[in-house]
This record gives sequence, C-alpha cells and structure tokens, in this order.
Amino acid sequence: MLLAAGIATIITKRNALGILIGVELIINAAAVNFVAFNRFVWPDMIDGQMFAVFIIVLAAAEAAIALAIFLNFYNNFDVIDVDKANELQG
Amino acid sequence: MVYTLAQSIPAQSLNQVAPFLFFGFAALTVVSAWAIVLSQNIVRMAIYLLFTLCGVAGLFFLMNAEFLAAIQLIVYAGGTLILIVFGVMLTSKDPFQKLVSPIWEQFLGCGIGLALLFLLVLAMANSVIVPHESLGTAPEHGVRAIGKALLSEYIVPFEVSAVLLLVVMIGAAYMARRRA
Amino acid sequence: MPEIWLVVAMCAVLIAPFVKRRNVTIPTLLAVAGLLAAMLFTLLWQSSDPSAENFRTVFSNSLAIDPFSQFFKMMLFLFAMLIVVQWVLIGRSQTDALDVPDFLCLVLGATFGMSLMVSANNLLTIFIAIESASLPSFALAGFRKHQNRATEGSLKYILLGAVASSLMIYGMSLVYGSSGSLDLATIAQHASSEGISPLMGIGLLGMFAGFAFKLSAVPLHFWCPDVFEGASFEVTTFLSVASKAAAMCLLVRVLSNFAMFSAVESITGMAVGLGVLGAITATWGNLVALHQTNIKRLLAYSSISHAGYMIMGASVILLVNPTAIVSALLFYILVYMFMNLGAFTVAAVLAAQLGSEDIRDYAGLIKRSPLLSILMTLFMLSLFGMPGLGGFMGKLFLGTAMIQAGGIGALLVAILLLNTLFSLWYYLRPSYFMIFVKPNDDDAPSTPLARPSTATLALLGWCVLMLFWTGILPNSAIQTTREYAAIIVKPAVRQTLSQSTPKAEPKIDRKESH
Repeated sequence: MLLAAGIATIITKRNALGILIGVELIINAAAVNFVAFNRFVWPDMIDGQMFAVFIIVLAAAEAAIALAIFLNFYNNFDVIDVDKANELQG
Repeated sequence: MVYTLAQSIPAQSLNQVAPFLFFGFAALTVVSAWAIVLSQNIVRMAIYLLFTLCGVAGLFFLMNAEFLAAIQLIVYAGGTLILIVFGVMLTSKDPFQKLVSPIWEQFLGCGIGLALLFLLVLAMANSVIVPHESLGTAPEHGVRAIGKALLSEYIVPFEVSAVLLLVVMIGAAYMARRRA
Repeated sequence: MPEIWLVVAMCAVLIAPFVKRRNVTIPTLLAVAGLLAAMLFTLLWQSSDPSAENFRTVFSNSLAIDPFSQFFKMMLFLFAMLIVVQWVLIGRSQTDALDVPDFLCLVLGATFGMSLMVSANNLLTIFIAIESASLPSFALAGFRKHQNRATEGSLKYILLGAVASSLMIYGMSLVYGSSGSLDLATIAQHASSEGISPLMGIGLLGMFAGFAFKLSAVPLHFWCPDVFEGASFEVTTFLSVASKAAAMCLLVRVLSNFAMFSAVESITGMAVGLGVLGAITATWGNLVALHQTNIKRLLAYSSISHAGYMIMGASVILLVNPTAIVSALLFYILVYMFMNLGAFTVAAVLAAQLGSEDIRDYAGLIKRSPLLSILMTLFMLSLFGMPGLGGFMGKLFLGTAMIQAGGIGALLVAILLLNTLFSLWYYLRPSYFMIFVKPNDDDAPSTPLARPSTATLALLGWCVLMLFWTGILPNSAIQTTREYAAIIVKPAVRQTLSQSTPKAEPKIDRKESH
C-alpha cells in the first residue's frame, strides 16, 4: 500500500521534492517489509532488522545529498520543477 | 499488505490491545501516505510524511523492533524530515503555492500504483511463505542483539556506512557551499 | 583489505588543506599514493596466498575475496589513478584550488564503493556498496556547480538514482521475505530447491531494476547522456567506465550464484530476459547515437550500447560454463577502459583548445593537428571493433563465449554483429569531419593547434599501446583473465539456534579449472 502510494506520488508530482518524498515512502515500505518478514516469517534471526537500520541511515544520506543538489539547481534555475530541466535533450 | 501480515500475527505474542494498535498505526500510515498523493501543497506533503513515519515507527514497535522504532523517530522523523522541510523552505518562494498536476496524470499515477499493489497482493496470495515458528530460544531482538550483530556479523556494512556518511558530508557540503 | 588504503588516503586528503592551504600538489599526491597502495596490496595479497586460499569469503560471508574480484579491483584502482592523472593534465586548471580536496575525496569515495560492489556477497553489502558508489557519483556529476548543465544532469541523475535504488531495496525486501536470507548463495539455493515464488520473482525484478540503473540499461538510461554532457571530462570518463564495469561485475556475481544451482526452468527465463534487455539496450544506444553531434553525448550512447553488449554476454552465464564468458567480460572491460580513456582524453584536449564539444567543429582538424585526429580515429575504430585493435578481440571473445549457449547465444551474437555494423557510421563521423570536411566559413582559424603536453601524449600513447597489444597479441591478456575468472559461490553457514531449517548447507566452492 505504501509502495503504491509512493509510486503514485512519483508519477504525479512534478516537483523534485515531491519525488523525493515519494522515494521516502517506498523506502519506508521496504523497511516495514523487512521488519515484518523478520518478525513473522523468520523470527530467529535479526537480518531484517539490521537491514532496516541501514535503510534508515542511507535514506538520510541520500536525502542530504539530494537536497544539496536541489539547492544548487534552484540557485541556477530558480525553480525545482522537473519539467523545467529540459536544457539537455536528445 | 499490512492487512495480510496482521492476520498472521500469533495471538499469544501480543497482548489484548495490540491488534487494535496495529490496525491503528497501519491505518495512520496508509491514510497519510495517500494524503501525500492527493495533497497539492508541498508543506502539507511533508507534514503527512511525518505522520506516515510515525505510523511506521509504531508498527516497528509492535513488531518487537524497539530500537528501530526509536531510530525511525529520531533519525528519520527528526533528521531526514527536517532536511526535507528545510529544502521546501529554501527552494520555494511561496510555500503555499498549489502544485496542480493534470488530472490524467493523477489517474495514471494512482492507476499504476494500484495495479502494482494488486500484483503484489496476487503474488503474495500465490506464494507460500511458511512462517518459521520460533523455537522458544528467546531470540534476542533488543538493542543488545543489534549492537552485538553490528560489531560482529555486520561489521562490514557498519564501517562502510561510516565511510559513506563522511563522503556524503563532503559532497553535500561542497554542493551547498556559497558561490566563492 | 586494500580498500582501507583508500579510506586512509581520503582522510589524508581532507586533512592536507589544514597543513598547507590552497596547495594542490599535496592532496593529489596523497590520493595517487593511496590508490597505489591499494593496488600494491591487492597484488601482494594475491601472490602471497596459495591459490586454494584465494577462494574465501570474509566477515561472515558479507564480502567475497576471489580472483575475479581481485583482478577487477586492480583494474579499478589503476583506472582511478589514471583518472586523477587525466584530471591533473587537463581539468585541474578549471578547478578552484579550494575544491581540490573535495574532488579527490569524492573520487576516492566512489572508487571505494565500486571496489566493494565487486566483492559484495549479500544483499545488505550489495545495497550499501551500490549506494556508496552512487552517492559520490551524484555529487561528482554536479561538481561544476555553477554550470546549468552540470546541475541539471546531476538533478536527473539523483532523482532517477533514488527511484531506482528505492525499487531495488523494495525488491530486496521481497527476496528476503521469501527466502529468509540475505546471503546470495543461500538465496540461490532456496530458489532452486523450492522454485522462484511470484513474490520472489517480483523482488528479483526490482533488484535488477537497481542494477539496470547503474548499468544504464535501456528503460533507466536517461541519466547517462545528460550527466555525461554536464560533467567534466574526468568525471565522465570515470563514470562511463568504472561505475558501469563495477555494476557489471556485481551482476556477474549475482548471476553466477544463480547459475551454480541452475536446476530450475525459470533460470532460463531469467537468462532470456537479460539477453533481451541487453539486446534492446545495445540497439537503442546505437540508434540514438546515430544523430548525436556532441562528442560527449555520442560517447555516452556508445557506452550505453557497450553496456548492452556486456549484459548480453552476462546473460549467458546462466546457461553455460561461466569461465569462458567471465574471462571474456574481464577482457572486454580491460580493453574498454583504455579505449574510453583514450577517446575522452583526446576529446578533452580538443575541447580545451577548440572551446567546443561539437563534432561539426572538428572540420579540417587533420590539417591543424594530425596527431590528435589520428589518435581519435584509432580509439573510435577500436570502439567499433576494427580487427587488429583491442575492441575487436573483446567482441570476438565475447561472441565465441556466447555462441556456446546454443540457439539463444547464436541469436545474441547475430544482434551483436548487426549492432557493430551500425555503429561504424557514428564512430567514424568525428573522423569524417576531421579529414574530409572543409571548414565552411573562410574566417575559420587554420592555425595548427598547440601540441599537447608530453605527459598527455604519454597517457594517450599508453592507451594506444594497450589497444594494439590486446588487439594483436591477445593471448597473454586472455590467459590472465582466464586465470582470474573464478568466482566463489559459498552459502553462508548460519549460526542460529534454529532447527527449522535443518538443511545441512554444504560448503560449495566453485573452482574453475584453469
């Protein structure tokens, strides 16, 4: 369900930040999956939980670098709509 | 997905209130996730994301992953979300502007999303996932177990992510630096 | 662990400005030293261990150290070093002295991630390695941050990358859920003993979407030309070879784990799927390359189609004895590294002197700089696959390895041949402009271009030498890659108290006969 919402967000939002939020949704869906599978299907291990820990860490890292790039783009173009990013074509 | 999982909860593992809590958190998560899809204002989207993250943290908590619930709240809701909100503030001239996307795009997005959901549910129904019963060996799920695993079995990802964070910090600092 | 030296070098590079501000030489030397140390340690480690010991996984199976990964790491470190050299020769003048440590640190970080990608042996390590290779790459792509094109390229890169990696994580979660393990070999074993459930199928699909992004396979290739055009030449060269080759090696490792237990029908389906993906990628890359006029975009599409050839090759791993195909792939990557390095270096030199990346501006260059024109033509011919040059041998070995797979292989080889023929047209276009087209306006400068520096020429000369060596006397090179083509496949031995999975997991070491 979260995945569906995430994908719907990515497709509908033209704003780069909106896409990032959609990505965060999918990542969260994956984390929930990991923990749930860990808890209900393979309760003797903690692999799923460990993976979720790293997912959270890397999501933070990804958001940081994405926002830095967005800021740069905004400085140069004054918008962050993906449709405006059309100088390069072909 | 959450619903199917909820059905497989062993009754004895949770106390009486837990199922209600589970559905409560699941509902919170899912409803606010769809609210993100439907909302047309970037600030509201960020706030709904906050609710989704809190709902996920609640789910973690109910699935015996207390440590994860804690770092979900601290790192994700407290850190990543704030980053996004900063991003919103720094990049929009008017935080309340409407982001209107064409109606057919909304339908397309929701359609693809729902189709994938349907596919997943279908796949789940057709896949045999045998729940492996816990053997009563009291698997450690607490912070202690995670700490131990981090420094033994998972030492490589742990160290690598440390290096990664350093590199990302350099990269982000460089990108966001003012014009010289 | 040679990677440790990269981290040490990274820290040293970051500390250097505190000792001597605005000094460029010290950080550069430190970075090169770090890469050199990493390379030496890979080499030493190689020769000090007896060959049987070379097959092992370390840190509870999270990293595999085998001849395959060692060989690739040596190439990778060498290549990163050459990139630093290329940057010193050409791009350094455009970089502010204050930004030098950042640049080097990002390059080292990306190299670090890529070298882990080759060794990664379970889902978590794969995920982390891919991320730690991509995140610095995103920053590198936008390194020229005041240029609109660079920021735009990096924006597209990171958005697509974030989407692809989130799909990959989601896929991994499904794979974990249906197999109960993060370990590649255990997953493959599970898949063969109990079949691939629909859930796992979707999961694998998601995972391959993540790989496809790194490889710039067709549905996820849009970032490639944009990033290449926006980024500086060094970064473009780096991304076009290192990041794709690392992803390729990762794909090879995953596939050979599945190939180890290839009892299932669906494995064939997977091979066909990948083959089709590779074929589409190669064809699409070539078709779009036909009407490119910017040399960077042209080379970007060329790199997409080369990735397609390699994917086609990799898909065959599932069907036949992998030694031949893995060694062919390693050889291909080796050759491709020198071809691309050479082509991009020439283009960079030309861009610096002409102030243009448009191949129409190359008109009449044969008179102004015969040497560079000839070099460019050579590299282009090698990329096309002219007999006598390395590119031809790479394709030849790939083709002979593929044809062993029977009908599918033969079909793939036919596609490869057709594509190669097509590609001749656009590979020769720059040379065509250089040699046959007269500059149409009369006031076009006809003064000879300045001779590139001796070091640049040495770098180019070495690339040419390597191409001729691999093209005319390929035996020693292919012999070496064959020796190193062994990949370790070993399921993790879990030390849980669980009795519910009583299958005694056998230790299976795959040792290829050399």
